[in-house]
Amino acid sequence: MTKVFYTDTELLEGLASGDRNAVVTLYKLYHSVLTKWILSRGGLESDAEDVFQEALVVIFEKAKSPEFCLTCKLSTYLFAISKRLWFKKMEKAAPYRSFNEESEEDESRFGAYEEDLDIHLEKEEQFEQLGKAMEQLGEPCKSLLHSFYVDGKNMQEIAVQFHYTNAENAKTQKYKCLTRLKKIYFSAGIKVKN
Amino acid sequence: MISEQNINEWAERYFQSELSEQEMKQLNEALDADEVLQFQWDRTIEILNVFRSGNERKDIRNLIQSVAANPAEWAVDNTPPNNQTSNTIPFRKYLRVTAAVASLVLCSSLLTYTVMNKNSGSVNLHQYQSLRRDLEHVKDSQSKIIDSLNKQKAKDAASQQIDESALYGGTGFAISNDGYIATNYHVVDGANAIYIQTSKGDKKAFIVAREPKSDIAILKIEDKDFKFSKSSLPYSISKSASSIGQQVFSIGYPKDDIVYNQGYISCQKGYDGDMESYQLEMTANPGQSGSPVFDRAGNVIAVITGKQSNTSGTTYAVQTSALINLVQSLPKSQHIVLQTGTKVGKPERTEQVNKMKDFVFSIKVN
Repeated sequence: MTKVFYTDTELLEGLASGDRNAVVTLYKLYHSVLTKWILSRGGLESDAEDVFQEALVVIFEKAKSPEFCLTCKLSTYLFAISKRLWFKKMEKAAPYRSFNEESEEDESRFGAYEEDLDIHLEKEEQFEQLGKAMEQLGEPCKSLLHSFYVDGKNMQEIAVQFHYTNAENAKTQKYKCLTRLKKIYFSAGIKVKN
Repeated sequence: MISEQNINEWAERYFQSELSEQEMKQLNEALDADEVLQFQWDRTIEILNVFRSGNERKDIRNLIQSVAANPAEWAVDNTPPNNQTSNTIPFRKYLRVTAAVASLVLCSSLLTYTVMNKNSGSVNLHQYQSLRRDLEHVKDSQSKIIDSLNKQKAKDAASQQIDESALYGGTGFAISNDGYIATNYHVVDGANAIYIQTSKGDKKAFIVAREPKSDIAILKIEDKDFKFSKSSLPYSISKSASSIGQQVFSIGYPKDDIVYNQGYISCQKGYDGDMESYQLEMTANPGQSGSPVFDRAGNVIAVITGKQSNTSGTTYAVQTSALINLVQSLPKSQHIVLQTGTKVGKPERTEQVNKMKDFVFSIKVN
């Protein structure tokens, strides 16, 4: 709150560690410019908001990975990702129109970002897949795994909640559930990485 | 022995970096030797990865959306800075006069200072002291015990970090069911991160509004779907002033557990004649800053802010009218609906407190 000025690196570190001030600063710096850009392309403000938020998530995940090193200015990267997201969105809305107005000049630079975006989208697919697998898994496994992996409860709490005699029993049950989840998740035809 | 039966457990411990060097070696050998095991291992690790990054993504989305929902924080001020027409006074021309005036001012202010200093010797003892709690020395014993119990907990590392870096503590209370909390401004002043300890775990919060003058801040829990309870709050925020002699009680967190105190309004003006505050005859300790003060019917009538440093019984609390003013000054988009009409009524005090304690929280700030 007290700090006004951030460097790119500080912003990225802040974002990676979930620092609210970093997000606020990113909004302050880039939100209005991007909104203007999207409005000028015939988008709505809500589109701009979606794109901006998604771009921040992409950057967050990049910043999280240990080998990440920004080779250009953060603003350049943010806008490149945002533009790409926007084109993707438009392609989805109107698949037969092509949006290559400026693709020539940007193609070479987009190449690298495209990859980041693909990873991002692939992950999104994985979450959906996992969600579906959890649904198929049924109770009580679904709730048990959710409590542990998503809500971050510890085994004692889970043992109480699901009426297991002790944490050790709950743990055994949890691993059984995980094995079943694995089967469903991977049998559903999602590609295994590498 | 590592087998397909316990491969999940190994993977999970590896994932939490709990394996010793020796175990790592054992693991690597087992994986190299057995292709099927390696295959199962990869799959488990992938699932765990998806879980973890899914959680991270959810958290960051929550954070981003809570920022997006609060444009007042980041909206760029478009009004250009007004160009001040420079009315410079020709300095040289008035040099002598300036010097004379300056020396006169200096002398007189020095004189005033010494005189005042002599007079205020006795006054200094009655100083105002705010009641936020320094956490560094308190945190150790408690968190160590909890940590050792929760070794396998996924969020262990994160919560430990919170504990270690938490610097100040205070109390806050819910003012509407959808995640708004009132506390003292000095509790959250200059905060990097604010955590609310609710019955559903530590929740991150941010400042929605603040009023340094009356020492009040309104926080909101970042998770936008968060509700304190299924029904509404068990108390209302009083609009009218209470009179002298009114019996009051308060609950707050001077330590990690909730503490009850009671007393009465001893003066309708606060420290140094502050019109917005009450003076209470009630004990309060560091950490109770931001605690709600209830009247007998269970309405919030004030928020504890500080005490007089030379006594233990005199406590100051800012009236809820200041809180209501702050709520009303918020833009329409984030309108908070304050509850009117109390639900607790006049049952036994223990019953009252039992219902309220789920709505009063310990706040950790770093």
